[in-house]
Amino acid sequence: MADLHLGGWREDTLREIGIKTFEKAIDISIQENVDFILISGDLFDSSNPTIDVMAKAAKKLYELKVKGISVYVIEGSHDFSPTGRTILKVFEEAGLLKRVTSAEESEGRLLLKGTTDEKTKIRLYGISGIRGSLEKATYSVLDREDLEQKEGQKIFLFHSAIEELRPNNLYQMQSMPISLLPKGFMYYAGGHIHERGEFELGDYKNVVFPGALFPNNIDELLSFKGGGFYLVEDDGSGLKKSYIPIKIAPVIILEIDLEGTHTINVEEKIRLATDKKDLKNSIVIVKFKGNIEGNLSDINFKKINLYLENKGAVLVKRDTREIKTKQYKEIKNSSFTKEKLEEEVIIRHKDQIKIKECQIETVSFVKTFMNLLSREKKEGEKKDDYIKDILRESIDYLSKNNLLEDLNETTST
Amino acid sequence: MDIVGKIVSGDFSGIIIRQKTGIDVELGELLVTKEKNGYFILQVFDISYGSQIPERIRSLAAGLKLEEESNLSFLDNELSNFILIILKPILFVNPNRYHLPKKLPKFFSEVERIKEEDLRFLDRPKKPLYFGKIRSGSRVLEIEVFLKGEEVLTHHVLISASTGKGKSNLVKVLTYNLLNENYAGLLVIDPHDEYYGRTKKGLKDHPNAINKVVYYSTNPPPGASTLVLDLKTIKPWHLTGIVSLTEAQIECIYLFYNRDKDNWIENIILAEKDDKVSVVTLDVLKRKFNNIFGISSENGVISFRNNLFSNSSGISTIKNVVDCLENGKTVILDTSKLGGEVELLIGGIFAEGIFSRYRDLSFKGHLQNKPCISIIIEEAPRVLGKDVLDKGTNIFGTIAREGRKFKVGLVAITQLPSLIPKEILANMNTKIIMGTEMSNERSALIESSPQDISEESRNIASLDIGEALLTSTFSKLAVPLKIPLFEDIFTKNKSFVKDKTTIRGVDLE
Repeated sequence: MADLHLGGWREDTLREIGIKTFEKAIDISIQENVDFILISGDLFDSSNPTIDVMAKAAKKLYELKVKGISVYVIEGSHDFSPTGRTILKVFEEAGLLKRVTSAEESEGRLLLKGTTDEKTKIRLYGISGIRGSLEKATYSVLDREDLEQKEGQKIFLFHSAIEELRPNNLYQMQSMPISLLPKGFMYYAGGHIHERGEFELGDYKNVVFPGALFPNNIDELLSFKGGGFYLVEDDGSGLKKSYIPIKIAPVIILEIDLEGTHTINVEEKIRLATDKKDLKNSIVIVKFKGNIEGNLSDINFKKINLYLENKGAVLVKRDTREIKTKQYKEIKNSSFTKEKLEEEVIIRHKDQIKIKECQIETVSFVKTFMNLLSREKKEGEKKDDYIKDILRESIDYLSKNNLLEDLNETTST
Repeated sequence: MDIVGKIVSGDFSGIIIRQKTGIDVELGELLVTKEKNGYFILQVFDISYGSQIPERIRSLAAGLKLEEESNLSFLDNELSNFILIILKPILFVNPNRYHLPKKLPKFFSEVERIKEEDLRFLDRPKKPLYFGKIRSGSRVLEIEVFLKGEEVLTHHVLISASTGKGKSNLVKVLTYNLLNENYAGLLVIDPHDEYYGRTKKGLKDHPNAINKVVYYSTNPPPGASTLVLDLKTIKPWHLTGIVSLTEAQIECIYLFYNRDKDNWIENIILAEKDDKVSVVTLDVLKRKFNNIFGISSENGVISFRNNLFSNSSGISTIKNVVDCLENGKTVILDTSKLGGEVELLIGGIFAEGIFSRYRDLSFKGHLQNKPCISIIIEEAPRVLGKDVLDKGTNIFGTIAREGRKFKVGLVAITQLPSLIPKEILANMNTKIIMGTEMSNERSALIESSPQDISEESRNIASLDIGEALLTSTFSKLAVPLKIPLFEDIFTKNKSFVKDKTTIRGVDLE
């Protein structure tokens, strides 16, 4: 399993469902008498989750320990910490799980040492995921040959998007090519991509992303409606992979077309749409669309929520992104990537930017300058150094393009 | 002063000088004759003998020497017998400008060898594209040749040479130097897997390679991307003009595509029969698709013979490649393991992706700030040949005709330019002509050249390895070039030291 993000939701109900999903997954694993469990990153939503979340996770991991089921993990982009101080380390010290990322460096090459599962003698190796896909650099010095030559059955845990396997909707997500993974392992346990997928590509067989155990945001709830994990069996003739979906609370999506509806009639529309629906214990997402008469603020969402909760919904979420009112004009944007959206906005407003004797094309200037200013503080970089660096780079850029004088004339600072 | 001769006669099509005794002048050599307000640059296009002694006397003297071991010699031999050099005036340079000559140099003027300082006016443009060094005959001058890269690349480039004349070296030098610039994205379709430098020096060894070179291969080395395409990204028009299809097969393909959209290939493979398509057509298409895509089915289960096509991986490969190019990167596609038709199909798919993206950007008015994109294609007549285009146009033909409007260009490499239709050859506004022995190939090049190089045929035939003639709409003269050896770049430049990698995501002991 992967991407559990325990403690991740803001709403108590959803956070609780996330934890219950984990508990159920562990119960099923115990029932199925698995040899071991792999968690490919982001067991927790942060490296320092709340006591409550830690306690619940520790309780279930202890159950596994008692039953003699080992848990092998790597950190994901959410529960990794550059300082190394993570709850996973604490849990490891307590014997509740085992991180498989031990390694040593030799002459600029990275040798993974991994760990052996005592029951099955399978060797397990892994590299944690880091925010911004910084783990890619680690893969670039990984001694793959050393790993590939190791005998016996081997499993590799990773928490990275793989360029060749990314789903279409995530194609701009930072990723790395599959060739950075060592070849010839029996199973590649992937995390980070919340959409489920099983792949084979060349020498890489059984590359599996189980997806999130429970959706992590409203879009994932809308798309996947739930999550699950893989039960993998090796009967000697190859791996048999079964996906086990877990549904603590079914996700029901109500699509309500409000075209031409006045705001005072929205509640009635909801009543009609749900009259004969069983909403007991469900997460209800109301997805509105269409042009409404009146203001969005006139819709009594509280009342709608109450009505649906009275019908048994444990949680009601609404998606109003596709409601249009006469007050708001739709902004026409042909492309929705952040960069393209920015570029379109810059192009639309470029005539307002007047810099005398500007040698550079305005759009290019704004984009480059925004890029300069948007650099985030690097790991370990002092705040003062970061600010000085940004200032220096900005001044350099402006000076090179003869813009500094111009700014001095037009601004007081 | 290095005087080589004096102008003795001629006209605008050929100025004749008498060569000074003891001086050697070569075909193609650049010479200079100075005037008050500037100087002419002239190029040698022919050399012949001259003599003041009648032909029959010379023959008799030669006979006496050969047959009778005579000591006979001509009186004032060096004055009586000499070499005549025929020159073509190619440029007039004055302190303010340089232009094609519109007058003849002064009669009886002295002519000297060109020196580096005579060519200093050739400055480095903005967005430069490097070609090599100026060559005068076989002498290499320390003057580097650059043209305006964006214009050159979008107006298409033709590289023509016989085997072994240094085409690959030239492409390596061009592409390596382009990695210093940001104005162009480059798609290199590499059927010999020679540009990345998997086993020797290549583009991967450029200091900017980590940010600018992207390598796709069906068998990628660590860190490179797998060349894999999801069948859902293949559209019927990708096959047009590249895969041979009958009318009935094309109709069948569009029928399935219109009905099943992204799953059209899989559904053709899985179809047992279809009311609107004959079983024979379906069977032939299945066989063709098996050959091209390596796809087949057994008991309703799809399988693939190789890794190039898939139904689960590579859904974003085309978008990734086009994104990289749009960001000014160089993308190398290793097609060395692919069959000819599949290689062209793959090249066509990416070319179509690039062309569509840039055409859309152009229509939205967003193309102005984008880098231009150039597609390097080897053995170009396979897609631009008369016989291929007669069967129906393909994306490469479209780019050759319309790409310029959308900042997309081709670098077409061939040994046989005569196979490319004249109108497409004429659209290739820059030609790098290397040694070409076959006269019909030389004629095709000369006839379509942006400069009048009608006198250069002999020169072109005698070009040695690494020597070239650059003709371009963006150059005032046809420039004789010497292309540096790619490997020499690495002996001259100090190898760069990579930053130490920060290892994260593991527990180091």
